[in-house]
Amino acid sequence: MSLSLSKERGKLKGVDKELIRRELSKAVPGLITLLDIYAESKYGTSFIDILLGDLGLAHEVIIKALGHDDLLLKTMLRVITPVTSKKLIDEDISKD
Amino acid sequence: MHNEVTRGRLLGIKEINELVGDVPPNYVILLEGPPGTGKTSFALATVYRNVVERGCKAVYVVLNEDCRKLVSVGRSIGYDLGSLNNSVDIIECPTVSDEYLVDMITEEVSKRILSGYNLVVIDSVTPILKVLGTYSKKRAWLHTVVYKIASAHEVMVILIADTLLKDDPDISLLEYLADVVIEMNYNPKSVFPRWLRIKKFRTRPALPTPIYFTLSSDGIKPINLVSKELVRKVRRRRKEIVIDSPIVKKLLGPSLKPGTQVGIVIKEPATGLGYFHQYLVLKLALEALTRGVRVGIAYYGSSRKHVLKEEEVASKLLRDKLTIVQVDFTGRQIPHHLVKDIDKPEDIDVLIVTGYEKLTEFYGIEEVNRMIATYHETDSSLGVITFRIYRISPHTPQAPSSIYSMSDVVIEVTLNEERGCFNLRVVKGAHARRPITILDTELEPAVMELRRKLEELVGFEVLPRGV
Repeated sequence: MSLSLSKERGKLKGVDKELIRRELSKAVPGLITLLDIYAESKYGTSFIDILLGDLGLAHEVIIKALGHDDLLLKTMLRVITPVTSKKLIDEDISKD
Repeated sequence: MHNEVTRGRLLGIKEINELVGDVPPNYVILLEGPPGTGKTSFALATVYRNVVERGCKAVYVVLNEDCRKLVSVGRSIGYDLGSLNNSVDIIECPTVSDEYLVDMITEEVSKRILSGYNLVVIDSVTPILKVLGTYSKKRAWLHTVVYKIASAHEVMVILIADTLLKDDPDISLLEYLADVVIEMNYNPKSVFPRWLRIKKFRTRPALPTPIYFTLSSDGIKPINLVSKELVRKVRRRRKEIVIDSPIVKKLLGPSLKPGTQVGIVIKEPATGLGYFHQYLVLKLALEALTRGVRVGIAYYGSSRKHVLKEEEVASKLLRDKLTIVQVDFTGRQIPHHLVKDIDKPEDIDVLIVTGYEKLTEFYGIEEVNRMIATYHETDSSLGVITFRIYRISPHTPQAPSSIYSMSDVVIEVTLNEERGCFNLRVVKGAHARRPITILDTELEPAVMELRRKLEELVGFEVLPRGV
């Protein structure tokens, strides 16, 4: 899978998960709930945590829960980019 | 209960599956129609059949009503979900006004799918779509969540949608997405008030012809679809009725083969069939006593019809082999199936139906035409010999064309004023190349002969002389 996601963004800590959840729910209502149920039953953690920590695993969850779907993960990342980018910018500002 | 979850899924009416086959296990089915058209009943029937016959586990999401009411509705039409142990889980969703509803339903359904449930019903999807608001959100939820989960986990999803508006964009969206679209309707002014049609069936031809059905404590029964299995079963034991009177042969031909349809039109001012009616009842009584033929006599009408002396006698003689019913349809909305339920139609070998003109007064000639044409078809395929008697009156001056076009034999009855009896005129029949007219009084010897045979058989006088 070729995902254009920077390493840093994949390991974001302290990102507002609720905000990400809201953004993703706006894009596809019910999707995160579904993926959360799946992730929690199989991996014992929420899908958002998996998404922010391990993209490969996030992709696996999507495939297992919904069937083969490369574009869905890309779309999710596009949706959450404004949130994660803002976090990075905030971190940059606080460093300065 | 079978453990056959890997096989295709079933729909609520067996005869439809005979036509279209099993439904692939990962299909999304849309049941659409105005409120009160039988969508929930069809969904309950579908759940019941899949659990009992295919070993499925079902989750039924109720948004519009109380789950106890759903169970009791199911029980009243023969689909007792309570009897299915732990195979059906009913989720009653509270009414909430925003997207929490979507999350709640998605969560509850997903959990069950992961634990092995493979049939989901959402009754109804309409409030969910209203909550979602925009077209893009509706489409995203339906496609990315509902459709995908059905495909990935081999779950059949039944979405029930209320068509509250004409050209509802939500319905168009659902139709676009669903693999199977079943439209359901209800028209209380029709003789067949409930019907459905399959508007779409992915990879297979749709069934645009309406399938009329009834809802009773025996479940959903199609009117104009007959199970091939049932046809094979009943056709084997049907009997031909041989006509041994030369004069009656002129009217009906040498024999009545299973499935023969006879139309009789009584034209005003004639009032009945005279000796012909007596001949029919006595002949059928004899057939019933000697050969086990089962006879049904049905009258449509709002008041108790005077039963002929012959019919009274026949009903005493034959008991369980003869059923006479009076269908007071004016107080009911579905008169048609009552005659079919005289017993099960497959158990009746010969059926005499009168009083169609009363139905015409009530429903109009077009409806009765449709009814006769439909029953002609099912009775022919089931091998029921049927006599349909239509009396022309000042209120119903015209006989339904289907009596003429679809019957194998058509007899018109007129009054012969000179002779003071009825003329019986065969206007259609393979045995009568050209119209034949006989006087009903010519049948008297045949009636007497039948009466004598019956009396010999039962050992007493079946009717006083001169009746």
